[in-house]
Amino acid sequence: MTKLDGKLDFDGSPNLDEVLVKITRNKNLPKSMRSGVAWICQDTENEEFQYKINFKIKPTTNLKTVDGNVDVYLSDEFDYLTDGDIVKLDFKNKRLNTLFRINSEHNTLLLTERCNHFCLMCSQPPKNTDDSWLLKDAFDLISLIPESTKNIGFSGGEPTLYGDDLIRLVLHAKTQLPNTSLDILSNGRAFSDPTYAKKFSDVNHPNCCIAIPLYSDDATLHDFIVQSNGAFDETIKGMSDVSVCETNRGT
Amino acid sequence: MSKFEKIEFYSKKKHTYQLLPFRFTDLDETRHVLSNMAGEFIVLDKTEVPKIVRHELSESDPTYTKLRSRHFLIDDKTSIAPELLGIKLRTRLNKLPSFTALHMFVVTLRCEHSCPYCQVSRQSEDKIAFDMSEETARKSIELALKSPSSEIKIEFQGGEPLLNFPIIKYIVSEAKNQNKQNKNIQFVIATNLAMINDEILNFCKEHEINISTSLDGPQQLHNANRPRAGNDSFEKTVDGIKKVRDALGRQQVSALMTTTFSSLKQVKPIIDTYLEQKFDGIFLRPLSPYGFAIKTKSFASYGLTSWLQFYKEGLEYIIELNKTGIEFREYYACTILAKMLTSNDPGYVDLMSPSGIGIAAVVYNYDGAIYASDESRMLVEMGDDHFKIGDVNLNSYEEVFGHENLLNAIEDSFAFSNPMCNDCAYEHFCGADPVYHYAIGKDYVGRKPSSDHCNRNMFIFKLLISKMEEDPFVKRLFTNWANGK
Repeated sequence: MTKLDGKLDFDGSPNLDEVLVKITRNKNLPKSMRSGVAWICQDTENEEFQYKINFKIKPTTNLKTVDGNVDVYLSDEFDYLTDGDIVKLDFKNKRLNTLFRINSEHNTLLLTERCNHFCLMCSQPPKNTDDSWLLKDAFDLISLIPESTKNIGFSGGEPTLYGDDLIRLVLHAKTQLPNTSLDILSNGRAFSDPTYAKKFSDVNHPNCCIAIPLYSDDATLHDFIVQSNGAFDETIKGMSDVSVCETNRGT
Repeated sequence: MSKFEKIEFYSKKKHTYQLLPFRFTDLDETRHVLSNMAGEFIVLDKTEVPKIVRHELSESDPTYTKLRSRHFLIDDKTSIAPELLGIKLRTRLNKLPSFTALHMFVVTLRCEHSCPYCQVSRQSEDKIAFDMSEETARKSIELALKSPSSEIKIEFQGGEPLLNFPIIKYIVSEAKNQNKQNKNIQFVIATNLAMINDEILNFCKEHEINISTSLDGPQQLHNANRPRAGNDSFEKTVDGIKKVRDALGRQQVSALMTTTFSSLKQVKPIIDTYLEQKFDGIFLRPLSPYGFAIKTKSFASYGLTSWLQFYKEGLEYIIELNKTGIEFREYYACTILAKMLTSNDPGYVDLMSPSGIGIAAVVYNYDGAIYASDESRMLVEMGDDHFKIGDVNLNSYEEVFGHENLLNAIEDSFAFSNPMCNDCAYEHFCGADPVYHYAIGKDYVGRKPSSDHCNRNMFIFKLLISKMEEDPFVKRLFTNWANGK
């Protein structure tokens, strides 16, 4: 399995605790384009990039790093990284996280691990902690994702727990990536508030699909599976509200 | 004080449920079919219905869950059912606003066949008398393209339409020229294939025209039903099917059968013929009531009983075929099953309510007369032009589709408000068919107990539901049919 999250070492003094950067393997990248870019370099090369990624163990003696530049050391499990991929360099916690892979058709952004369901079969049980930094990362990431990307997904947890912030994120996706289809995994309950459904619909994203699971045609069984009373009715009403908005808008 | 319950305890209701409107009708001696407002149904033992309506059903009863999930009742756990019923009903009727999709052009009444069951064709050399003119064709196209539907299907009918091939070419090119709104126009030629040739096939290929032909069964039956000079209708048809498949593609040709009294004892050989000709299914069509059946009513009821036996035997044979791994379907059952098991109405004119006459399909006759359905023009041949709703040379779109006889027929025959239909659990699967009832009794509604339309469809509804109830294989098979899989 591709390793998306791992440890990093670094030399130099980064001016940020964490940063989202685009990967390049092109050492001839014009200097004017090197801002926010991490270059995957071979041992002997000595090009000036703000971030350089090496697949080797960090040398024990501190080599001379050009001022403001950072040398990053990763295990070669990350050797798959290629031009256009986007990673998060977290210097504070010494972690690297691959957020976007240009060669994957399925790039899903985890927006939160919080959820108002507690499904019996959930492979990723909800955590009740403030992880809104994931939302901030998503905003930054969407600004970096290439416009030619066919599809991205938003997942959780339950993304609609962000309320209006999720709508802002969808609008951001529409503005930044007008040609990219967007799949949102949601339990749909938030849309049972017609005002919220309308706000969402009014974003008028050209190609957005909300994927909502319904586990039974009977309320009791569905509520049991998601461990939440009243879930069935709210989810159905949510689906209905969104379609009504879409129909009224003529799409 | 602790002995006393709080006031909330006394305001708490004991478990109750509220019934939503539903209808129930016999399936057989011991079982009822219950259907909800959107046509979803369940089958229950007759002893259960009184318990339900007396609110005696316990929540732990499996029937309770079935009824709740299918919107027969709501309780304190869920009350979303009315919204779901609304959504399902709207979905069922969502083709109505787009109005007429099927436009049949009778391009000639001439035919080189002389089938005794045909009501309309003429044996004539006189091209002027029974052929559609360019003027009539152009005006018919203008009307067809005024339909709000974004999908327009133009079906060429006859007579034998290929005898007037020049007008088909004219209509195809004229329809494309006039199509300023960029509607999706599909063309179908209903032909006996006897006249098919390379020129026609090339034209069909260029314009993606599909072919619908007639195949009544094995050679002897087909040729007896469909006489032509040379007595070779079957050979011509089979040869034509192959030519069309080679030139246009396998799925570009479909076949329809007409059931005659000689057919009634031959359902298996008929189905075998369709298998032999590599069709994926067959439409076991009812005997046409127009003509003989209407004139002698006793003959009609005898005809219905035999036909139902014919249909049942055919359906059972087809189910057995599927059990041996041969994928083959019966299209009338598919249409009904789609109405029973999904919210997508296939839009089959005889099984629509409000009736599909005029508003789902319409006929432009060779002479410019406009009929509300194919049956309407057969009625004309019997001397009654009640369903002639206009003339392309004289009337505007608004006059044609606002014709009093059309609107009255549709409004009066709306099954949900008709006596006996309004409390029939099968009403959602059925249709209004005002033309048939008018032909029988000069009345759009008719008396349902003596209506072949009612008796035939009731029999088939019960047959299909019983088969699904008794055999899980059939349930799966029918579910696939309903979903077009």
